[in-house]
Amino acid sequence: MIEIDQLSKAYGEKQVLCRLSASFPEGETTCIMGRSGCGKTTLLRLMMGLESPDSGSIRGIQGKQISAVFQENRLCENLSAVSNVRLVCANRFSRAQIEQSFAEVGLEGCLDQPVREFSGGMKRRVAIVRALLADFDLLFLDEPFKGLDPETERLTTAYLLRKTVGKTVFLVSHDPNGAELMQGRLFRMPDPIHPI
Amino acid sequence: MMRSTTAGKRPIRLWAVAIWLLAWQAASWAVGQEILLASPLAVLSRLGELVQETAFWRAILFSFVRIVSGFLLALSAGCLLAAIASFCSPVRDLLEPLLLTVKSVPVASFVILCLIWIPSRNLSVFISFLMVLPIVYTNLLEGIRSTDPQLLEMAELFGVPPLRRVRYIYLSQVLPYLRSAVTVSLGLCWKAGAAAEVIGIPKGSIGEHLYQAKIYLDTPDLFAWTVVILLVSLLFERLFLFVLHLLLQVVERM
Repeated sequence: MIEIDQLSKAYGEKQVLCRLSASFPEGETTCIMGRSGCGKTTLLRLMMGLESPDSGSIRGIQGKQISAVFQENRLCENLSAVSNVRLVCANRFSRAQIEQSFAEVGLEGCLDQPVREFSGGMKRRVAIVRALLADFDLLFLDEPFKGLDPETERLTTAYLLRKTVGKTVFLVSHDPNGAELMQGRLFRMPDPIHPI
Repeated sequence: MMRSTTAGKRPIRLWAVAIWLLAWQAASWAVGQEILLASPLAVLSRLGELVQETAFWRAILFSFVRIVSGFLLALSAGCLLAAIASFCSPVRDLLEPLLLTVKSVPVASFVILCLIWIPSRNLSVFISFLMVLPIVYTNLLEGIRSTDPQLLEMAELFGVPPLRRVRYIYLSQVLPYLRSAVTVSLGLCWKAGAAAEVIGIPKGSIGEHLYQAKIYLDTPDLFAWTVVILLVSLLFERLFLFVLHLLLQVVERM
Protein backbone atom coordinates (compact mmCIF):
# COMPACT_ATOMS: atom_id res chain seq x y z
CA MET A 1 0.00 0.00 0.00
CA ILE A 2 1.20 3.49 -0.84
CA GLU A 3 0.07 6.01 1.71
CA ILE A 4 0.14 9.77 1.77
CA ASP A 5 -0.50 11.42 5.05
CA GLN A 6 -1.43 15.09 5.66
CA LEU A 7 0.52 16.19 2.59
CA SER A 8 0.85 19.94 2.08
CA LYS A 9 2.69 21.88 -0.58
CA ALA A 10 2.74 25.57 -1.44
CA TYR A 11 4.59 27.54 -4.12
CA GLY A 12 5.21 30.93 -2.57
CA GLU A 13 1.85 32.27 -1.47
CA LYS A 14 -0.08 29.69 -3.44
CA GLN A 15 -1.16 26.66 -1.42
CA VAL A 16 -1.56 23.78 -3.87
CA LEU A 17 -2.06 20.81 -1.56
CA CYS A 18 -3.44 21.13 1.95
CA ARG A 19 -3.26 18.17 4.35
CA LEU A 20 -4.11 15.63 1.66
CA SER A 21 -4.35 12.03 2.87
CA ALA A 22 -5.01 8.92 0.81
CA SER A 23 -3.88 5.35 0.35
CA PHE A 24 -3.41 3.54 -2.96
CA PRO A 25 -3.23 -0.21 -3.45
CA GLU A 26 -0.11 -1.59 -5.12
CA GLY A 27 -0.29 -3.61 -8.33
CA GLU A 28 -3.24 -1.58 -9.60
CA THR A 29 -3.90 1.49 -11.68
CA THR A 30 -5.12 4.61 -9.91
CA CYS A 31 -6.63 7.36 -12.02
CA ILE A 32 -6.15 10.72 -10.34
CA MET A 33 -8.74 13.19 -11.52
CA GLY A 34 -9.72 16.68 -10.56
CA ARG A 35 -10.18 20.24 -11.72
CA SER A 36 -7.39 22.30 -13.22
CA GLY A 37 -5.08 23.65 -10.56
CA CYS A 38 -6.14 21.16 -7.89
CA GLY A 39 -2.56 19.86 -7.56
CA LYS A 40 -2.62 16.59 -9.57
CA THR A 41 0.79 17.18 -11.14
CA THR A 42 2.19 18.45 -7.84
CA LEU A 43 1.01 15.28 -6.13
CA LEU A 44 2.72 13.20 -8.82
CA ARG A 45 5.96 15.18 -8.51
CA LEU A 46 5.93 14.73 -4.74
CA MET A 47 5.33 11.00 -5.10
CA MET A 48 8.11 10.74 -7.70
CA GLY A 49 10.46 12.42 -5.23
CA LEU A 50 11.13 15.36 -7.55
CA GLU A 51 9.95 17.79 -4.89
CA SER A 52 9.69 17.74 -1.13
CA PRO A 53 6.42 18.36 0.69
CA ASP A 54 6.17 21.28 3.10
CA SER A 55 4.64 18.88 5.60
CA GLY A 56 3.22 15.39 5.68
CA SER A 57 4.69 12.13 4.45
CA ILE A 58 4.57 9.56 1.69
CA ARG A 59 5.11 5.91 2.55
CA GLY A 60 5.60 2.83 0.38
CA ILE A 61 7.63 4.41 -2.44
CA GLN A 62 11.15 4.45 -1.03
CA GLY A 63 13.59 2.17 -2.84
CA LYS A 64 11.23 1.47 -5.72
CA GLN A 65 12.20 2.05 -9.33
CA ILE A 66 10.15 4.76 -10.94
CA SER A 67 9.23 5.45 -14.52
CA ALA A 68 7.14 8.29 -15.86
CA VAL A 69 5.49 10.06 -18.73
CA PHE A 70 5.78 13.70 -17.74
CA GLN A 71 3.32 16.43 -18.58
CA GLU A 72 5.92 17.53 -21.18
CA ASN A 73 7.47 14.91 -23.45
CA ARG A 74 11.02 15.53 -22.21
CA LEU A 75 12.67 13.88 -25.22
CA CYS A 76 16.16 14.51 -26.55
CA GLU A 77 15.03 16.33 -29.67
CA ASN A 78 18.23 15.67 -31.64
CA LEU A 79 18.10 11.93 -31.04
CA SER A 80 16.08 9.28 -32.85
CA ALA A 81 13.10 7.56 -31.20
CA VAL A 82 15.21 4.43 -30.65
CA SER A 83 18.04 6.45 -29.05
CA ASN A 84 15.54 8.11 -26.71
CA VAL A 85 14.52 4.66 -25.51
CA ARG A 86 18.14 3.50 -25.28
CA LEU A 87 18.84 6.44 -22.97
CA VAL A 88 16.74 4.82 -20.24
CA CYS A 89 17.12 1.11 -20.97
CA ALA A 90 20.60 0.91 -22.61
CA ASN A 91 20.88 -2.48 -24.32
CA ARG A 92 18.31 -4.35 -22.23
CA PHE A 93 16.16 -4.67 -25.35
CA SER A 94 17.23 -5.51 -28.89
CA ARG A 95 16.47 -3.06 -31.67
CA ALA A 96 13.79 -5.44 -32.95
CA GLN A 97 12.07 -5.44 -29.55
CA ILE A 98 12.12 -1.64 -29.41
CA GLU A 99 10.76 -1.44 -32.96
CA GLN A 100 8.03 -3.91 -31.99
CA SER A 101 6.99 -1.68 -29.09
CA PHE A 102 6.83 1.36 -31.34
CA ALA A 103 4.81 -0.61 -33.89
CA GLU A 104 2.29 -1.46 -31.18
CA VAL A 105 1.55 2.24 -30.72
CA GLY A 106 1.47 2.86 -34.47
CA LEU A 107 4.97 4.29 -34.94
CA GLU A 108 6.81 2.71 -37.84
CA GLY A 109 9.26 3.72 -40.54
CA CYS A 110 10.51 6.86 -38.80
CA LEU A 111 12.47 5.46 -35.90
CA ASP A 112 15.87 6.68 -37.13
CA GLN A 113 14.69 10.25 -37.64
CA PRO A 114 15.50 12.78 -34.92
CA VAL A 115 12.34 13.28 -32.87
CA ARG A 116 12.43 17.05 -33.53
CA GLU A 117 10.92 16.10 -36.90
CA PHE A 118 7.98 14.30 -35.24
CA SER A 119 4.48 15.64 -34.67
CA GLY A 120 3.20 16.23 -31.13
CA GLY A 121 1.28 12.95 -31.08
CA MET A 122 4.29 10.97 -32.31
CA LYS A 123 6.51 12.52 -29.64
CA ARG A 124 3.94 11.64 -26.99
CA ARG A 125 4.02 7.99 -28.05
CA VAL A 126 7.84 7.96 -27.95
CA ALA A 127 7.63 9.26 -24.36
CA ILE A 128 5.11 6.50 -23.50
CA VAL A 129 7.20 3.71 -25.05
CA ARG A 130 10.32 5.05 -23.30
CA ALA A 131 8.52 4.96 -19.94
CA LEU A 132 7.24 1.44 -20.48
CA LEU A 133 10.55 -0.02 -21.64
CA ALA A 134 12.36 1.38 -18.60
CA ASP A 135 12.72 -0.94 -15.64
CA PHE A 136 10.08 0.13 -13.09
CA ASP A 137 8.01 -0.81 -10.06
CA LEU A 138 5.92 2.35 -10.17
CA LEU A 139 4.69 4.14 -13.27
CA PHE A 140 3.46 7.75 -13.23
CA LEU A 141 1.52 9.00 -16.24
CA ASP A 142 0.68 12.70 -16.42
CA GLU A 143 -1.90 13.27 -19.14
CA PRO A 144 -0.33 10.56 -21.34
CA PHE A 145 -2.92 10.75 -24.10
CA LYS A 146 -2.51 14.49 -24.68
CA GLY A 147 -2.40 15.22 -28.41
CA LEU A 148 -3.47 11.72 -29.54
CA ASP A 149 -6.38 11.17 -31.89
CA PRO A 150 -9.06 8.67 -30.74
CA GLU A 151 -7.68 5.78 -32.82
CA THR A 152 -4.08 6.32 -31.64
CA GLU A 153 -5.35 6.77 -28.09
CA ARG A 154 -7.09 3.38 -28.32
CA LEU A 155 -3.90 1.71 -29.65
CA THR A 156 -1.73 3.36 -27.00
CA THR A 157 -4.13 2.47 -24.17
CA ALA A 158 -4.16 -1.16 -25.28
CA TYR A 159 -0.34 -1.15 -25.27
CA LEU A 160 -0.28 0.48 -21.82
CA LEU A 161 -2.72 -2.08 -20.42
CA ARG A 162 -0.67 -4.98 -21.80
CA LYS A 163 2.57 -3.64 -20.37
CA THR A 164 1.29 -2.68 -16.92
CA VAL A 165 -0.46 -5.87 -15.81
CA GLY A 166 0.15 -6.30 -12.07
CA LYS A 167 2.10 -3.01 -11.87
CA THR A 168 1.38 0.04 -9.76
CA VAL A 169 0.34 2.85 -12.06
CA PHE A 170 -0.78 6.41 -11.30
CA LEU A 171 -2.54 8.15 -14.14
CA VAL A 172 -3.41 11.83 -14.09
CA SER A 173 -6.08 12.75 -16.57
CA HIS A 174 -8.63 15.42 -17.25
CA ASP A 175 -10.44 13.17 -19.60
CA PRO A 176 -12.83 10.66 -17.97
CA ASN A 177 -12.61 8.54 -21.16
CA GLY A 178 -8.86 8.10 -20.84
CA ALA A 179 -9.21 7.13 -17.19
CA GLU A 180 -12.04 4.74 -18.00
CA LEU A 181 -10.03 3.11 -20.78
CA MET A 182 -7.22 2.40 -18.32
CA GLN A 183 -9.71 0.49 -16.14
CA GLY A 184 -8.31 1.98 -12.96
CA ARG A 185 -9.55 2.85 -9.56
CA LEU A 186 -10.62 6.48 -9.40
CA PHE A 187 -9.16 8.98 -6.97
CA ARG A 188 -10.76 12.39 -7.12
CA MET A 189 -8.65 15.30 -5.88
CA PRO A 190 -10.28 18.00 -3.73
CA ASP A 191 -11.15 21.19 -5.61
CA PRO A 192 -8.39 23.77 -5.96
CA ILE A 193 -7.71 25.95 -2.93
CA HIS A 194 -7.26 28.95 -5.24
CA PRO A 195 -9.51 28.16 -8.23
CA ILE A 196 -8.04 29.14 -11.62
CA MET B 1 25.62 30.67 -29.81
CA MET B 2 27.49 31.84 -32.86
CA ARG B 3 25.22 30.80 -35.63
CA SER B 4 26.59 28.59 -38.36
CA THR B 5 27.43 30.55 -41.45
CA THR B 6 26.50 27.54 -43.54
CA ALA B 7 23.07 27.03 -41.97
CA GLY B 8 20.46 27.92 -44.55
CA LYS B 9 23.13 29.57 -46.71
CA ARG B 10 22.35 29.93 -50.40
CA PRO B 11 24.86 28.23 -52.66
CA ILE B 12 27.31 30.55 -54.43
CA ARG B 13 26.10 31.23 -57.97
CA LEU B 14 28.59 30.66 -60.76
CA TRP B 15 27.29 33.68 -62.67
CA ALA B 16 28.00 35.91 -59.65
CA VAL B 17 31.56 34.57 -59.43
CA ALA B 18 32.00 35.13 -63.18
CA ILE B 19 30.82 38.76 -62.88
CA TRP B 20 33.29 39.48 -60.08
CA LEU B 21 36.12 37.84 -62.02
CA LEU B 22 35.24 39.96 -65.05
CA ALA B 23 35.18 43.07 -62.84
CA TRP B 24 38.61 42.14 -61.50
CA GLN B 25 39.93 41.61 -65.03
CA ALA B 26 38.43 44.94 -66.15
CA ALA B 27 39.94 46.76 -63.13
CA SER B 28 43.31 45.21 -63.89
CA TRP B 29 43.09 46.39 -67.54
CA ALA B 30 42.06 49.85 -66.36
CA VAL B 31 45.02 50.10 -63.95
CA GLY B 32 47.29 48.71 -66.65
CA GLN B 33 50.11 47.63 -64.35
CA GLU B 34 50.43 44.04 -63.11
CA ILE B 35 52.53 45.25 -60.19
CA LEU B 36 49.57 47.20 -58.80
CA LEU B 37 46.75 44.84 -59.63
CA ALA B 38 47.46 41.44 -61.17
CA SER B 39 44.76 40.16 -63.49
CA PRO B 40 42.94 36.87 -62.81
CA LEU B 41 44.57 35.43 -65.93
CA ALA B 42 48.06 36.35 -64.67
CA VAL B 43 47.26 34.81 -61.28
CA LEU B 44 45.94 31.66 -62.92
CA SER B 45 49.01 31.44 -65.10
CA ARG B 46 51.29 31.89 -62.05
CA LEU B 47 49.31 29.20 -60.19
CA GLY B 48 49.83 26.91 -63.18
CA GLU B 49 53.58 27.41 -62.83
CA LEU B 50 53.57 26.98 -59.05
CA VAL B 51 51.74 23.64 -59.01
CA GLN B 52 54.59 22.14 -61.00
CA GLU B 53 57.10 22.99 -58.29
CA THR B 54 57.84 20.64 -55.40
CA ALA B 55 58.43 23.64 -53.11
CA PHE B 56 54.80 24.70 -53.69
CA TRP B 57 53.38 21.43 -52.35
CA ARG B 58 55.94 21.34 -49.54
CA ALA B 59 54.89 24.84 -48.46
CA ILE B 60 51.23 23.83 -48.44
CA LEU B 61 52.02 20.71 -46.43
CA PHE B 62 54.20 22.69 -44.00
CA SER B 63 51.53 25.29 -43.27
CA PHE B 64 48.62 22.83 -43.40
CA VAL B 65 50.14 20.50 -40.80
CA ARG B 66 50.88 23.36 -38.41
CA ILE B 67 47.67 25.36 -38.75
CA VAL B 68 45.48 22.25 -38.62
CA SER B 69 47.44 20.93 -35.61
CA GLY B 70 46.78 24.21 -33.80
CA PHE B 71 43.12 23.96 -34.74
CA LEU B 72 42.76 20.36 -33.55
CA LEU B 73 44.65 21.05 -30.33
CA ALA B 74 42.38 24.03 -29.61
CA LEU B 75 39.33 21.92 -30.41
CA SER B 76 40.39 19.24 -27.91
CA ALA B 77 41.44 21.74 -25.24
CA GLY B 78 38.28 23.82 -25.76
CA CYS B 79 36.05 20.73 -25.35
CA LEU B 80 37.91 19.61 -22.24
CA LEU B 81 37.95 23.05 -20.60
CA ALA B 82 34.27 23.68 -21.39
CA ALA B 83 33.36 20.30 -19.88
CA ILE B 84 35.31 21.08 -16.70
CA ALA B 85 34.05 24.67 -16.50
CA SER B 86 30.44 23.52 -16.87
CA PHE B 87 30.47 21.84 -13.46
CA CYS B 88 33.31 23.73 -11.76
CA SER B 89 32.52 27.44 -11.58
CA PRO B 90 35.95 28.49 -10.14
CA VAL B 91 37.53 27.12 -13.35
CA ARG B 92 34.98 29.09 -15.39
CA ASP B 93 35.75 32.26 -13.41
CA LEU B 94 39.48 31.68 -13.78
CA LEU B 95 39.30 31.19 -17.55
CA GLU B 96 36.91 34.07 -18.23
CA PRO B 97 39.43 37.00 -18.13
CA LEU B 98 42.12 34.97 -19.88
CA LEU B 99 39.95 33.99 -22.81
CA LEU B 100 38.47 37.49 -23.04
CA THR B 101 42.01 38.85 -23.32
CA VAL B 102 42.94 36.28 -25.98
CA LYS B 103 39.82 37.24 -27.95
CA SER B 104 40.51 40.98 -27.72
CA VAL B 105 44.29 41.22 -28.28
CA PRO B 106 45.23 41.72 -31.95
CA VAL B 107 46.80 38.71 -33.66
CA ALA B 108 49.90 40.73 -34.62
CA SER B 109 50.63 41.53 -30.94
CA PHE B 110 50.50 37.86 -30.06
CA VAL B 111 52.68 36.91 -33.01
CA ILE B 112 55.42 39.39 -32.12
CA LEU B 113 55.25 38.47 -28.44
CA CYS B 114 55.32 34.74 -29.12
CA LEU B 115 58.28 35.04 -31.50
CA ILE B 116 60.40 35.67 -28.42
CA TRP B 117 59.55 32.26 -26.96
CA ILE B 118 58.48 30.02 -29.81
CA PRO B 119 60.56 29.03 -32.86
CA SER B 120 59.06 30.69 -35.92
CA ARG B 121 58.39 27.31 -37.58
CA ASN B 122 55.89 26.44 -34.82
CA LEU B 123 54.42 29.89 -34.40
CA SER B 124 51.38 29.19 -36.59
CA VAL B 125 50.47 26.17 -34.42
CA PHE B 126 50.27 28.37 -31.35
CA ILE B 127 48.54 31.29 -33.05
CA SER B 128 45.85 29.15 -34.68
CA PHE B 129 45.42 27.42 -31.28
CA LEU B 130 44.93 30.80 -29.59
CA MET B 131 42.39 31.99 -32.14
CA VAL B 132 40.27 28.83 -32.04
CA LEU B 133 40.34 28.03 -28.30
CA PRO B 134 38.05 30.87 -27.06
CA ILE B 135 35.48 30.23 -29.80
CA VAL B 136 35.26 26.49 -29.14
CA TYR B 137 35.28 26.96 -25.36
CA THR B 138 32.59 29.67 -25.36
CA ASN B 139 30.26 27.87 -27.75
CA LEU B 140 30.60 24.50 -26.07
CA LEU B 141 30.13 25.91 -22.59
CA GLU B 142 26.98 27.64 -23.79
CA GLY B 143 25.80 24.37 -25.34
CA ILE B 144 26.37 22.43 -22.13
CA ARG B 145 24.79 25.10 -19.95
CA SER B 146 21.72 25.37 -22.14
CA THR B 147 20.93 21.68 -21.62
CA ASP B 148 17.27 21.47 -20.73
CA PRO B 149 16.98 21.00 -16.92
CA GLN B 150 13.77 19.03 -17.51
CA LEU B 151 15.80 16.46 -19.47
CA LEU B 152 18.28 16.20 -16.61
CA GLU B 153 15.40 15.77 -14.15
CA MET B 154 14.00 13.01 -16.38
CA ALA B 155 17.42 11.29 -16.47
CA GLU B 156 17.63 11.56 -12.68
CA LEU B 157 14.19 9.98 -12.27
CA PHE B 158 15.02 7.09 -14.61
CA GLY B 159 18.37 6.62 -12.83
CA VAL B 160 20.39 7.10 -16.04
CA PRO B 161 24.11 6.65 -15.21
CA PRO B 162 26.41 9.68 -15.79
CA LEU B 163 28.25 8.24 -18.80
CA ARG B 164 25.01 7.48 -20.59
CA ARG B 165 23.80 11.03 -19.81
CA VAL B 166 26.93 12.41 -21.48
CA ARG B 167 26.52 10.16 -24.51
CA TYR B 168 22.82 10.72 -25.12
CA ILE B 169 21.87 14.06 -23.53
CA TYR B 170 24.96 16.26 -23.50
CA LEU B 171 26.53 15.04 -26.75
CA SER B 172 23.35 15.44 -28.77
CA GLN B 173 22.85 18.88 -27.23
CA VAL B 174 26.41 20.10 -27.73
CA LEU B 175 27.24 18.88 -31.24
CA PRO B 176 25.23 21.60 -33.05
CA TYR B 177 27.11 24.20 -30.96
CA LEU B 178 30.40 22.51 -31.85
CA ARG B 179 29.48 22.68 -35.54
CA SER B 180 28.91 26.44 -35.23
CA ALA B 181 32.20 26.90 -33.40
CA VAL B 182 34.07 24.91 -36.04
CA THR B 183 32.47 26.85 -38.91
CA VAL B 184 33.47 30.18 -37.39
CA SER B 185 36.94 29.18 -36.24
CA LEU B 186 38.17 27.27 -39.31
CA GLY B 187 38.39 30.35 -41.52
CA LEU B 188 39.84 32.38 -38.66
CA CYS B 189 42.62 29.89 -37.87
CA TRP B 190 43.81 29.98 -41.50
CA LYS B 191 43.80 33.76 -41.59
CA ALA B 192 45.65 34.05 -38.27
CA GLY B 193 48.01 31.17 -39.06
CA ALA B 194 49.00 32.72 -42.40
CA ALA B 195 49.46 36.14 -40.74
CA ALA B 196 51.73 34.54 -38.13
CA GLU B 197 53.81 32.96 -40.89
CA VAL B 198 54.14 36.25 -42.76
CA ILE B 199 55.47 37.93 -39.61
CA GLY B 200 57.55 34.99 -38.36
CA ILE B 201 58.71 33.95 -41.89
CA PRO B 202 59.37 30.27 -41.13
CA LYS B 203 61.39 28.71 -43.96
CA GLY B 204 59.35 26.74 -46.48
CA SER B 205 55.92 28.01 -45.37
CA ILE B 206 53.13 29.66 -47.34
CA GLY B 207 53.77 32.77 -45.21
CA GLU B 208 57.37 32.92 -46.37
CA HIS B 209 56.24 32.83 -50.03
CA LEU B 210 53.72 35.60 -49.32
CA TYR B 211 56.44 37.67 -47.65
CA GLN B 212 58.83 37.20 -50.57
CA ALA B 213 56.09 38.16 -53.01
CA LYS B 214 55.66 41.38 -51.05
CA ILE B 215 59.43 42.10 -50.90
CA TYR B 216 59.90 41.56 -54.64
CA LEU B 217 56.61 43.29 -55.50
CA ASP B 218 55.58 40.10 -57.29
CA THR B 219 51.83 40.80 -57.26
CA PRO B 220 50.74 37.75 -59.31
CA ASP B 221 52.69 35.57 -56.86
CA LEU B 222 51.04 37.32 -53.89
CA PHE B 223 47.58 36.79 -55.38
CA ALA B 224 48.38 33.18 -56.32
CA TRP B 225 49.47 32.27 -52.77
CA THR B 226 46.42 34.06 -51.38
CA VAL B 227 44.21 31.98 -53.65
CA VAL B 228 46.03 28.87 -52.40
CA ILE B 229 45.31 29.77 -48.75
CA LEU B 230 41.69 30.40 -49.64
CA LEU B 231 41.31 27.08 -51.45
CA VAL B 232 43.11 24.96 -48.84
CA SER B 233 41.12 26.62 -46.04
CA LEU B 234 37.85 26.10 -47.92
CA LEU B 235 38.60 22.45 -48.75
CA PHE B 236 39.58 21.65 -45.17
CA GLU B 237 36.50 23.44 -43.83
CA ARG B 238 34.21 21.47 -46.15
CA LEU B 239 35.91 18.18 -45.31
CA PHE B 240 35.83 18.79 -41.58
CA LEU B 241 32.20 19.91 -41.57
CA PHE B 242 31.28 16.85 -43.64
CA VAL B 243 32.94 14.56 -41.07
CA LEU B 244 31.19 16.46 -38.27
CA HIS B 245 27.87 16.12 -40.09
CA LEU B 246 28.39 12.33 -40.33
CA LEU B 247 29.25 12.25 -36.64
CA LEU B 248 26.10 14.20 -35.82
CA GLN B 249 24.03 11.70 -37.81
CA VAL B 250 25.65 8.78 -35.96
CA VAL B 251 24.95 10.42 -32.59
CA GLU B 252 21.33 11.13 -33.56
CA ARG B 253 20.72 7.57 -34.64
CA MET B 254 22.87 5.50 -32.27
